[in-house]
Amino acid sequence: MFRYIVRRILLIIPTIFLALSFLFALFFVLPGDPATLMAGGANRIVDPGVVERINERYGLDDPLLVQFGDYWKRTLQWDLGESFQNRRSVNDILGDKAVNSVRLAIWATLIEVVFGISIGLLSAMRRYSISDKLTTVVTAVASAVPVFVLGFLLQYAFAVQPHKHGWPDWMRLRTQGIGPNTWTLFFIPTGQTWRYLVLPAVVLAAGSTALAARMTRGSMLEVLGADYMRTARAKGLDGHQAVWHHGLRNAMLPVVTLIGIDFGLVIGAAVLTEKTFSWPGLGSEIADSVISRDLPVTMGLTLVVVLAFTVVNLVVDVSYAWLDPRIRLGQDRNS
Amino acid sequence: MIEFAASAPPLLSVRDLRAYFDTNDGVVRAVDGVSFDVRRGEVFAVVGESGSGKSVMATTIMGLPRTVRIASGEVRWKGRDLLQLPESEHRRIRGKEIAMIFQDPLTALNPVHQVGRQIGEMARIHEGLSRKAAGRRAIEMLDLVGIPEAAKRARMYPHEFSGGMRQRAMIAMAITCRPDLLIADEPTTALDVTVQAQVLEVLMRIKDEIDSAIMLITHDLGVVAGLADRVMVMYAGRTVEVGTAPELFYRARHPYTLGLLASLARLGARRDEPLVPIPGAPASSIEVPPGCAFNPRCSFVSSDGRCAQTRPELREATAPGHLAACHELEALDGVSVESVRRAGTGR
Amino acid sequence: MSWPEDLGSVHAVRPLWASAWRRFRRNKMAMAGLAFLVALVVAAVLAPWITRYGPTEGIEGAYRQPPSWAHPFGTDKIGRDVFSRVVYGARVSLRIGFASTVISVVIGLLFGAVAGFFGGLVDTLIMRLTDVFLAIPYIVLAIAIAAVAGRSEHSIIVVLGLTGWLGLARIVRASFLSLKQLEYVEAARAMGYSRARIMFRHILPNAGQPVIVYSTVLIGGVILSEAALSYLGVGPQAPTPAWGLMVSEGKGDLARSAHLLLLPGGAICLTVLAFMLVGDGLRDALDPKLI
Repeated sequence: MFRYIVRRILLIIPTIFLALSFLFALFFVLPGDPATLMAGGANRIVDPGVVERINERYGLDDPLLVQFGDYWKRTLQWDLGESFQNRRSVNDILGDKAVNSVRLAIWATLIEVVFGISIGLLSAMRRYSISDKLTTVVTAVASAVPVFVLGFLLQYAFAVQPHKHGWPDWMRLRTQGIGPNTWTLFFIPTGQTWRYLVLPAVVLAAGSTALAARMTRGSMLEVLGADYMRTARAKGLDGHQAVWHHGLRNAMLPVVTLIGIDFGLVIGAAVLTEKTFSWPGLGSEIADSVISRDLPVTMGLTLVVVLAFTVVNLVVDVSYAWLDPRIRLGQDRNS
Repeated sequence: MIEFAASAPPLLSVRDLRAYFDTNDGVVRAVDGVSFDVRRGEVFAVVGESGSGKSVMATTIMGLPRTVRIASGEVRWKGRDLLQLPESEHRRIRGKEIAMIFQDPLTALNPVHQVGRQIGEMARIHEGLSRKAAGRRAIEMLDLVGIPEAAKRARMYPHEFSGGMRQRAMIAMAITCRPDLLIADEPTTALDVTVQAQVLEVLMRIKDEIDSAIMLITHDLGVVAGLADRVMVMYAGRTVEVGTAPELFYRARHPYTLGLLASLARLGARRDEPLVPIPGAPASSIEVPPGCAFNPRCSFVSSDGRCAQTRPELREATAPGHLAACHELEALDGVSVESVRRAGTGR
Repeated sequence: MSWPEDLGSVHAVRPLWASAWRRFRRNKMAMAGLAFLVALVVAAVLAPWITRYGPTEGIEGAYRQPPSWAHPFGTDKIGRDVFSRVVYGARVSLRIGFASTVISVVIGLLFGAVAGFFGGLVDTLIMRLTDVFLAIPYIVLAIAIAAVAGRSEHSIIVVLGLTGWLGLARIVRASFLSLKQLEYVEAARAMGYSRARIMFRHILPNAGQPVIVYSTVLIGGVILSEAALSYLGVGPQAPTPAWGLMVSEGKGDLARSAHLLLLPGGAICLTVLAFMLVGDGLRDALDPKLI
């Protein structure tokens, strides 16, 4: 087990290195000069002197390999540079935005795990029932609806309509921004803050929750048909005991991997959610920085996201191995 | 209703059991009117090819399949009809009084739990043992089925066992509560030939030790020989012949049984002697012909067309308790396995 | 012996597809999805005949009208008929969906087939490569390429085509790994066929089912991604009638005329849903476990 984890960590390092190097190269290989953009934009005529000064300041004139070396030297010291646009240090931006994204992510994950898994389980255990069919339809729709469309739909239902019909203020939800900074333990919304949190958290969770429910359902259905479930009942366990003691852990195995697979999707959904609700998080910041070609911000924030992604996947793989003795014990013996 | 020759009341008594599956293509009559008794302490073998309904019959007795429709029949266990029993009471019999051993121990054991825990669970649910006591019982049981270093093995997972070991563990689990009847559904089919004999030997030794009856379900008449007290042969969901093992092996009267016996590869046979298959494909359980299900493959069909028209009932063949369902029972009196074999090879 | 001599023909290709279609037809949800897609394709092809206005044509004096007989989906803030724009938008979405899926499938098949067939170092390298690309958040990659490659339909097709092949490559690799051990491949090898021939003539057709299912769902995913990129402002440029762009343009009017946003949004949702349902139906219909 220990060896397995070490090997996984060793594999992560080249992956992260190559991923970021690829992104770094992408920004240089593809057309569009960052210095010109910074000086005023691609479509306007800019003062060549300004462009030159910018190039010099950020070393953009150096050969690509030198810049590449510099980039990694600085990155390894966690010197992420400063924004081309407003000279804020990337670490500052990170500290500012990451916490908001994490707050949103925590609640979305809670929704996904609690609702997704329990809906999937119930649906599988009551196969062919009305509620199972309803679940199938709702989860299919939820995975097909674009994040931002769902966002606007909920804004329309919970903010526009209440406003139109003059509902009392305490019933209305907020749709823009993060609200007053009244968090307890940094992620529990107290005071008015929850009104700002509810809609973005639900929207961010929607797709993953649907996916989790579909996957749990499929996995549980497979488990319910497995031979060892028949054995469990042949032992004299009742249906619930059999599911609880023998089915659940087996059914959860593929669902655990989902969390890792899903992470990339969640980042995409986070960008869109944060944009739609003006939630000041990492996602919208990355999107903005890429579009405005603010290279240090893009690279810095992406580094953090890639790190988070690989760590999450590592945790997922390790917990999968821990949950499945076939892998846990197999690894020790073969490696 | 058929009367069986029996002195003591039977342990298990199945009467006219019909278990159907409703599918899009029609009703599958997996078990179509089967009656038999299992007596205390005997080995009762059920033989038939795959699809003959023997496994469905076993799981129906256990009350396991959810999709099956029980069209008629009763399953009397110690006087009570299991089919009428509420699920909560049926459950108390499952595992404790009737236990089952499945064909493929790799898939039948839960991959994520330790073997000892899975064995001990039996004692925990039926005897209310503590986790610790159940663990001790599991080791005891593993020891009983001849697994070396039982204490260490109990903490291992199914995938760490060899095929034979796994089936022994499965047997250990089944006998934990000393059931009165063990239903073994193809217990050796998934195993290597060399291991098969060992597992069967364990099964028979255990049977004597805990004094239970065994219902041995198999497609292989060869497995049955020498182990079974009585044998029932099934074809297309029906009983075609039933009797004591010697009767059945030496004085078989149903053409299907004769065919099965003729197709056995014999030890000591001449090397160039070909195997003799039964011609034709197994009967479909959906389009059931009105007459005898074996009729299309049978080489002893009567000339008056009865075999295709009317379903033959079980009748006494050569001795009390030896029954066969064939219209041509009397005509088959002189037919031996050897003659079927010769006819099959064309010699 | 009197066994039927051609037992093998029971599993021949034609009955497989016929029975797959029979199973597919029984699936009501999948059939509904298929019907919607057929209608959508017909509408996209016949767009000039079923709409009264051009997709970029402004109607004087008809600004932000709610749905009516004259304008079934209403008009937007510069007087364009939303129904026409949604119908023409189907052309954009379907073009992008199909074209970039084709790119992804070609790349995914190639990499997956090579990795699964040759194994060893080649396999390791290709799988590490997909790991690297999976580690980069998809949306960052897509925005980055789209931002610098320019805002046009073509660059969106390339962007989505180049980022969509990862899952496909893994699926193809997995089926190649299991298929190449089968006896008929051994037989083809023993007969001295070239590796390319074995790969593409003997293995690929049998790996086709998961690829078909995955591609169908992928088209829906691509349309969803295209909408997201358009919404973020890196998709096709205005006045292209792209659904995502229409939602983005309508977001300021949520309180006054929600239909400007919800109708194109609904079009995206239904189209993606239809592709998913058809994909699910295909998976169930082609599932070799049931055959």
